[in-house]
Amino acid sequence: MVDALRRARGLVAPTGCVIDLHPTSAAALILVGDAIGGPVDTGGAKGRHQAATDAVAAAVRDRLFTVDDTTEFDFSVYGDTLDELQQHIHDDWCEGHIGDVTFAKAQALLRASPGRRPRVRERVVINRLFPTFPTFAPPTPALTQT
Amino acid sequence: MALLEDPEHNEWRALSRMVPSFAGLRVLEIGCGDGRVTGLYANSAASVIAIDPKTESIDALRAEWPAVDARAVGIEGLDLPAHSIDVAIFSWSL
Repeated sequence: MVDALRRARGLVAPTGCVIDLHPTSAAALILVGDAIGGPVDTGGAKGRHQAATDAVAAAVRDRLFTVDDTTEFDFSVYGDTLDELQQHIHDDWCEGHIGDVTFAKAQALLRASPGRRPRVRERVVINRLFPTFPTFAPPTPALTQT
Repeated sequence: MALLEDPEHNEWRALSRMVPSFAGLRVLEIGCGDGRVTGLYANSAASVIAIDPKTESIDALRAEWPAVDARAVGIEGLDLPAHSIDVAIFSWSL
């Protein structure tokens, strides 16, 4: 991941920037309205998301970039049914599924709230990174005088 | 109804905070998938190169956004001149 950031740094103009969007390691949730059905079982995704966060930190530590701005937001996908969300997660996520307990609780929430659509909500971080380049300070007179 | 992605437009707001205007910018999107994020700025950028190793995703993006230079390649195999991009976006792909 740091290699990808390093490669991007080589492609971006000195006045340009890199934008990184990736889910945080916070649990993805199934909700009905604002009521929580439970977490999505995401297998190893939490570790991958944390690795992305770590890669940005490493790139900053290695002085490839500075983080100029960062914020987080909720990203929700709504389905008509829980089965539709289950299929979406199966098709579009690297791994993950709605487990039985979360599914049953969300079904109960839907029965109690007719007309509501279930959703899966992820917490996403976005960073703006500026590339850093070596700066060469002019030699000081003390060092240049013989 | 079908699946509805981010109807609150939170992703667009966050991207707009980071890049207030894409006008005149040369953009590279890494891990573009089928172009959900690409569609947020493709009409305003000066040029867009969108890459993803999945051929089927690139085919879908090309169908939706024919003006985008979509390539089925990862960043490690991308051949571009150094410093030729204004904004590189890792689209949920780090």
